Amino acid sequence: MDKKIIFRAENMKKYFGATHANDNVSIALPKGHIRGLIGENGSGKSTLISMIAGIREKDSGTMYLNGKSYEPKNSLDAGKNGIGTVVQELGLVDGLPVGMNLFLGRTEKFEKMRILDINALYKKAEAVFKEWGFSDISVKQLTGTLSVEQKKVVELVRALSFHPDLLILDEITQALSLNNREKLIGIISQLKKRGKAILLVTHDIEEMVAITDVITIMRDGKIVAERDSDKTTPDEIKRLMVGRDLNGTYYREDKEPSYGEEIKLSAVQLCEEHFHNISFELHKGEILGICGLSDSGIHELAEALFAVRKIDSGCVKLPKKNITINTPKQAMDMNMGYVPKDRDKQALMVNDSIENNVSLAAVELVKEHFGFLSPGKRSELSGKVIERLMIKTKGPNQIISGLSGGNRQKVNLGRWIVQNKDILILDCPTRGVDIGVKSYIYEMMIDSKKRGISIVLISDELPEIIGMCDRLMIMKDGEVVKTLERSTGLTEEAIIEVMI
Amino acid sequence: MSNRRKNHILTALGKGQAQVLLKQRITTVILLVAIYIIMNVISQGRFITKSNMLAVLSNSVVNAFVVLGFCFIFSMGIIDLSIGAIMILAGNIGGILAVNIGLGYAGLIIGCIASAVVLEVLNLKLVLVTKIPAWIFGLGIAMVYEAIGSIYNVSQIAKGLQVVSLQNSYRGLGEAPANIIVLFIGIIAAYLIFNHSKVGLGLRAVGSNKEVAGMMGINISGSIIQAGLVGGIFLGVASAVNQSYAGRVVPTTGLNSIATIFIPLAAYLLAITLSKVFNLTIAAAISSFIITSIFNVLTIMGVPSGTWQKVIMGASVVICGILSKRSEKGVVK
Amino acid sequence: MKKNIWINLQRIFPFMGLIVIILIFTIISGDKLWTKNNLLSIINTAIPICLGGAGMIFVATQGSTDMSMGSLLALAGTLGGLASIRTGLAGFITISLLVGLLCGIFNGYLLAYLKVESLMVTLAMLIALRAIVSFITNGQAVFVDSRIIGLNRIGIKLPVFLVLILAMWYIFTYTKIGFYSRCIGENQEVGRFSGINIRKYKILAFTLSGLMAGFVSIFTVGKIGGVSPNMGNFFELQVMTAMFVGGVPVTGGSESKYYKMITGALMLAFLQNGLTISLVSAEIAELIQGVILLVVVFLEIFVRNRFIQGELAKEV
Repeated sequence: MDKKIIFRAENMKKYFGATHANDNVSIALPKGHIRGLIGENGSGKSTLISMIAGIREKDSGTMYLNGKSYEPKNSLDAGKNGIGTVVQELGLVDGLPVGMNLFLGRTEKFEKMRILDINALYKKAEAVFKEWGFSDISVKQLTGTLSVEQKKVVELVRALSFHPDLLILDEITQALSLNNREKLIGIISQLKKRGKAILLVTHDIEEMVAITDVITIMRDGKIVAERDSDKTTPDEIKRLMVGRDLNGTYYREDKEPSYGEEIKLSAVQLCEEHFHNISFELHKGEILGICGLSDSGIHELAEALFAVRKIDSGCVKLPKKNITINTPKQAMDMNMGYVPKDRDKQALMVNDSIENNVSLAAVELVKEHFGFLSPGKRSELSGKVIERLMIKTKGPNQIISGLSGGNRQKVNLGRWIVQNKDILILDCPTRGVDIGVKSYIYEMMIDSKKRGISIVLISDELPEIIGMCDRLMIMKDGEVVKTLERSTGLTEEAIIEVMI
Repeated sequence: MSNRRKNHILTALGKGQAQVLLKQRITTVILLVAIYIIMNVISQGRFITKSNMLAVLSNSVVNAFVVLGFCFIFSMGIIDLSIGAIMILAGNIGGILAVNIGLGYAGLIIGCIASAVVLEVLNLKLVLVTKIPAWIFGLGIAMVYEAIGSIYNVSQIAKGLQVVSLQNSYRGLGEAPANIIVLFIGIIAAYLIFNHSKVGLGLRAVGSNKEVAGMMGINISGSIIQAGLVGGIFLGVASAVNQSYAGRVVPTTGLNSIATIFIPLAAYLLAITLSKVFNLTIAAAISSFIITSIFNVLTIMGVPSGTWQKVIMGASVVICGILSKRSEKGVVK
Repeated sequence: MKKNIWINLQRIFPFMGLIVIILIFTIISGDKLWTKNNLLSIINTAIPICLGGAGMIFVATQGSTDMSMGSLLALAGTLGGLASIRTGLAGFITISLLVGLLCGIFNGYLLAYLKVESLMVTLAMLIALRAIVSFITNGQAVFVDSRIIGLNRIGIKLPVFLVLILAMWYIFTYTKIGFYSRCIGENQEVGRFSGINIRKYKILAFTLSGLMAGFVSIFTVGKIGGVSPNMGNFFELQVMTAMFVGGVPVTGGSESKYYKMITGALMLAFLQNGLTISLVSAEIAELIQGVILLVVVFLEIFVRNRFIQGELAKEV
């Protein structure tokens, strides 16, 4: 690396509760360099980017920009220092016109005595859009009325308008149509020629290998490898991405699908904005995996199965009871349990006690005559959850926000497990928990399976899908593209191929 | 090649949207004209006459200024229920400066504006510092402001006097044509501040998306205070015009001051609905005029003002609230 | 350790407030506070506030607001009173309760199905219902069946009050309605994902609030001995003040406790009574109530943000 370094980050660390999202990450970007950053969901790449972009504060570590120490206060500050970013966390203000969004926070040059020269601002904004070849967006239009792709373009132009020395692009290409993608690639090589640095994140490995100079691979909060793009292959990158030291011990031992004949639940032609014509059958004692990228409709499908999300057509049936599930209440009464994706926003009342959170899922179980919710039964049940899942806590009156992510998830899952539900819908049950809790959750799932409980496991973590499921459905753009049976030949590479 | 074609299509789309907006505007205007014709028919032609329309416009001035004030304060997500009490207090202070101190119009206007601004900014500052939900803060502080006004009122009565009265002087501001001129100046000022100033930009950014605005370096509490300052000026003008129109404003107790901002509240909610089609400040003026018109027709029709008009007032708040929620949904989609 | 101190402090805070208020007025007013007649008048003030609070606490716990209670009790009392002239006591009670119930359902329906904020809906109802009352009464007091006045005897009032307040305590603390209301206030989204029919329980909360307004109207008409167009004026604010001063969180949720509402109601009753017997004017009384409301709500939020939540997050 004899070239001059533009940006360097050293020993970056970031914790989210118990999860170590970034563990001693160091990265250096020289002039005229296009770097790819890749890793599975939860590998820490988004965390790293958001720290560089000034969106999240780092816990420790140092960053240098053009040789000087760099401590961004916010995204605007990062931009002024010469780092332009397009990331998912940072959006646009929908209530403002495009032109104002472009210059939000730095309108000084259009001001005289606190009066904004709107026309000058729009003119300048138009010029900036033209400069980068995106003159097709009206700068006076309200941002809220733009399409997703147009919004991404506005964000891109905003990032470029800082004349950045380092441009960070997080998953932007998926949102762009083919010709805008070509335009973007043109801009990137133009910046490279001018000696700028680019940090690119995308799921499209082929694209990444084609565009970038060097690819950095992250896994579990660490950088595991760096490869020159012209000396590597997409296959190698995929291997590095997923090749963690997970082996049979913590997943299921058997390699054959095994489940009963009886159909416990059947989905018939489910249609909604995010998915189309989804049909499947869930058997007794079966673990059915549904995997895909997070925008493939898998999470929305999970919500629809529990009737939290209204579907446009189709139905979720319980054939044996001859019942169609229309409301979440009905699903609960029919012995279904649901662990939603977002633990702290959808599943648990974080400022309430373990006991109340457990009771919430088991109201009918603790109810006596005259609608009496027996305090005795409630504390007995929560005691059972704490004991059975070995939750580290002072007692059932502990407030959830005082628990670690793993223990929270144990409460979330345990309150269904102790009720012996027939069907469990688990949406990313191991997200954001450490290895120990993870293996514990898998153990619980295997145990439930043995007792004849049927599980739908929705996940974007492929090892867990492969390791746990009897059958797996791969979704892409809201449709099931492939259904596979459990077998020894199942590899992550094969699934990624179909998924992306 | 394909690139250029796509560009072309998108530009056309931009133009298309402008056309859609124009169409919406025309539809809205036609709808409004239709409503006015219907109201005229109902009132047997007594509604659309030159003198009555002028009276409606004149009566809508105070409401319009209050609604413009709301545009700056409520748009930040701060529903301040003490605004009625602030206006009553400001009106009395303005009156005292004008009559008792002898400062005339200058005293009336400056007194009203200064006290409204000070009280409103104080409110916002306290809401920001104490983190009390704005509506409950508004209730509590309204009790305090009302009490201050009433203490003054009672002390005057004890002396055998009444609250400050402008008698026959300084009444011109509250009457046509002065009040209508002030109204148009106010609308233009509000439009310019809302759309062409840094305060307006900050207000719209923070009101629409606090997180992104903060990330892009907008000072959130600073923006709120500045917006409150501007809003306070409009409320001050409203109370000056009202004081001049009514001659004297008797302080209320028991939170009756909240009732005084009901018509403006309905108009503000209607303005939010119309803001899809018109700029919010323009929509505010239009909806004040519409709501005032409705009550004017009711009065012409002989609907008793204390009873059924109030029922309709309540209903219009709910209906405008439902409409404004509908329009929000539309924007999201 | 420190955490326990603050949590316990917050728990006893309302009781301390009550004791302080009683002490202050005992000192200021001398013996006047503790005479039999005065105590009776305190009970008479506290009864409607407690009953109103017993209904409104469901709404407040869900994080909503019911501003219409005062006007609603006026309407319920007026219609009931008119009915009593022909149908006597039974008609009076039935109609009053029915009006309260139906208006409550209407409020809840507007809120749950049309998604208008509860503050807006109920503020509008406050104005509209009061206007209907003044239309019916024509601004005059109306006399009612003489047996209604008999309801004002403490021998009847107190047992009915106790039964009602205990029944509502049971519903709020030990049944699904109360439990789900706390959950909706805590996190509505979590409630939805846990199978709660949010609309149903929102409507139910407003229904209970309306029903209790109906009960309060019965006692109020009994006390006045007739229907007055001003009765129940800004009653909802008294109830709200009582709840918030007692420590029911403004945003609702699991910290909403029944005892806090009762303590708050007693505090308010003692405060109002104390101010009256200390010959404080109505304006000053309003000022003091406003300041107390602001200070207590501020303290509650401040203590929770600064001490309790921070400490809880650190634990384990």
